[in-house]
Amino acid sequence: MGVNIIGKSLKVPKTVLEDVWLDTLSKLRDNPNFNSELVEKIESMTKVGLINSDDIIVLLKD
Amino acid sequence: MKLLELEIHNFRGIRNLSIKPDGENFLIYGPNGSGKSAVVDAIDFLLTGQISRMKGRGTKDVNLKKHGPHVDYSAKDALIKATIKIHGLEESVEIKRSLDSPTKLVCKESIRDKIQPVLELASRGQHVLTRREILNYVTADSGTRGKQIQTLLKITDVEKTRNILVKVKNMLKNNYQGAKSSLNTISATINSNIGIQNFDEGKILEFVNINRNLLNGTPIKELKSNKLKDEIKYQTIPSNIRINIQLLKNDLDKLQNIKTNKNSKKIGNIIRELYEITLKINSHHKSDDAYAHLKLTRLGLDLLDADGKCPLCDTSWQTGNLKEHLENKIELLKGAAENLDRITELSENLVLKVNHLIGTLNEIIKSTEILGLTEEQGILEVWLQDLNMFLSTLEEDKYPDLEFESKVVEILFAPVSLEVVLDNIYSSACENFKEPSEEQTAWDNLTRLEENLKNYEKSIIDCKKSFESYEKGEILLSTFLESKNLILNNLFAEIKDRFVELYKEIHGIDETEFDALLISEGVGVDFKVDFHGRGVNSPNALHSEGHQDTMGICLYLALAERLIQGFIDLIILDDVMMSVDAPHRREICKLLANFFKGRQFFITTHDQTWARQLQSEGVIQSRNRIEFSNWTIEDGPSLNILGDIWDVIDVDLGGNDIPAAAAKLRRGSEEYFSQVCASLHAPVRFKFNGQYELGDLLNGAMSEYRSQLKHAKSAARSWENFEELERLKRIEEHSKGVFERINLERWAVNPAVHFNENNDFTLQDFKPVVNTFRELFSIFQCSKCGTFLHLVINGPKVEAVKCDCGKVTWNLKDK
Repeated sequence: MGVNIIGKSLKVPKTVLEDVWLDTLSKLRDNPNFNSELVEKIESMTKVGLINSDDIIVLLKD
Repeated sequence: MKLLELEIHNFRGIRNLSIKPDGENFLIYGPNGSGKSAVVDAIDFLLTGQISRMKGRGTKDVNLKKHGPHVDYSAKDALIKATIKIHGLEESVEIKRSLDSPTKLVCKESIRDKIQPVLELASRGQHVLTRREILNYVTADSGTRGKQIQTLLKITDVEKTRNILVKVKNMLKNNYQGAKSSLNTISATINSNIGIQNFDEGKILEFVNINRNLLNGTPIKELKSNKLKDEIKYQTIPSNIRINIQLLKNDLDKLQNIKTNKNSKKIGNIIRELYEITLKINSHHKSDDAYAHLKLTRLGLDLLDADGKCPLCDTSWQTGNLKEHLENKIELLKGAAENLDRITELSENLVLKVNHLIGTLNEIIKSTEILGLTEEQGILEVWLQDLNMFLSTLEEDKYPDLEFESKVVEILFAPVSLEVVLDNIYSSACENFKEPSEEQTAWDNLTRLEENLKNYEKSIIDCKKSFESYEKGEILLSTFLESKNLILNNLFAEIKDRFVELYKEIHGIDETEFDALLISEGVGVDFKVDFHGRGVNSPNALHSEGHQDTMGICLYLALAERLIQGFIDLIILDDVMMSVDAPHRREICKLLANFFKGRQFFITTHDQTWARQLQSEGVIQSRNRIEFSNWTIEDGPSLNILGDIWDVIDVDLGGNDIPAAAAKLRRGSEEYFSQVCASLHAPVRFKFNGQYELGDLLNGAMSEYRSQLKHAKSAARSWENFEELERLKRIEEHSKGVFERINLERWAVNPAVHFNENNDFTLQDFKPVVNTFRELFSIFQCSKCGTFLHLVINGPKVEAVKCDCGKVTWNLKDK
């Protein structure tokens, strides 16, 4: 959380949800049930707004 | 972002208004209904395209385009325009938004990416605090408060995501249970065909090898569907167009067996016992609770890990203690345990019987299809459907209720016409197919088992895969929740610390031990505060309304500060001061002035005392105050510039309107010296109606000033600080001269003078009076920070006269 300064441009502070996902994904990377490819796919889903249950189910069934 | 200029046209009770806060704090003072909040709505609309007050509960019939414009005007006439300063841009920028196109913010394309973070934060509603919201922060139940804080922190999305992940986990769990159920059914079919109770690979292999032997095959050692007919050659008609009468007879006998009195009674007894135990549990609320507790406690015991931490609330226990506690609890629930275990035993027994039935029924239905017995097929398929429904009820732990009374179940277990149906099937099969040879039956046994084993093997894989997916879903949810708790608890801890700091600053020595709790509670936020070391309670349990108001302000400021730092410097406080008493308002002023440097507060109030205090404590500069009054439907509010009275007096003098200038000087002076008297704690002759005239206030202010200056000189003498003494003497000399002149000239602002027809005041007569008042004003105000001189009081002792920046400091303490 907080203000990110990248070069001279300011980015909007992360939302709590973004922070929660960041922490969740970092923990999943250390979990043997989740390979890096799966974590990356979940991460990309979280970047585009709220996740969709059907998409996540397809991903976890893969 | 700071607000430099604001223009409002035909919007929410305002016809045309133009103000210039110039990036500094700004105050709008006026009675209720004078249009103050319309200005707040205008800023809100400009930044978000919405009006917060027109959303939420009770606003169903309120429409932005219809109710946003000023009465009698349309959406296209309503326009908000502002000049703002945003971080990362040297130049100020102009933005505007019309009610006609509320979603479209008009600005230069080149600045759109710079302003986007501001708009994004504003959309979270983090820039406006109203009285209604204060109540939501403080006195509301945890759920309402939770929603308010969730919206502000944009935690609502976290909750939505949690719900999605719960849904994902449950759907994957259902898939897994479905796969498990299929596996059970196919196992039961195999068991039924072979004539065994439980799935046993050794016994199945034995059955396979007996049949292989009849077909001259060698024994196999591994039970695999593709190995059953290895090296066996047997010429026959495919099984999907042929019926083995002997196997069919076996299947039919199994179904007939259901109808036997002995078996019906057995099943009936199981159902009845299940029903009775369930009824007993359901009829006693407490035993129902005990049953739920027992299940939870058993699950807790299963999930207990090596460190002894509670799997439910994560509280750490000393090693072994929690295990012992849970075991004791289970012991206490012994009665419930007996019932629960009996229910499980009976249910499992029933599941097994139903699965056997389903397996057999599937085989017979295949035969009806080959025989073209559609009516019989239909009856058996309905029965199969009922059995599957019953099975899912048992597997989902929903024990038999009233729907499953023994009579219903008896019907469920065998259709009334079963015997006739089965006779028809057998007769038709005998008419169409001849008695099979021993080898044919052995081959058909292997064929049937081959097909079932294929399904079994597929079910095993499905079950494993669906379990893995379910496990992933569960891990994803639990990891997300773990992270959510970590992030929120850290966030709440930071906000709580700042809240306590701000609150203590306002309440000083009254609340030195004050502390609070701000924790995530389910989907809400639990907020409790300490009351003088007597434990934590809800904010509205023991604290006064005034204290609750200050809590709301402090909590909001702590939240807002955490979230909008570096983007929106503008914080709007819309009529937030209700129950706070004058001394604490002064402290809030100091808090705003000293703890939030660099922020721009936009404050509205109907409270004159608060308005004065904001100025006297240096939160608001005189030029940044306006007053709304006399609102009319045609013109909106009348605007009085309270700010710099010298500018408006100069305008009157320029127009040679001496009575108007004198009236403004008198009114401005009354207001000014009431603030001076409050700051210096000056003695003013009490009036019951509270209507103090300029003479009352001037005498009090000048007298207190002289008195404190005298104390300061005496203190300097006691410290032998002669340099300070000389400085104070010079101040005294100057003030004395001004006071003498004011005493000679103050009659000139008396209203009676200017309403006397014979008065012949000229510009030359009145200008010196204005100049003397101007000089007088400057005596009571710091030339550097603009704040009023005020007494610094510590307990019963007066210690100093100071301004906020310290430029003016008179020590009053003797050696």
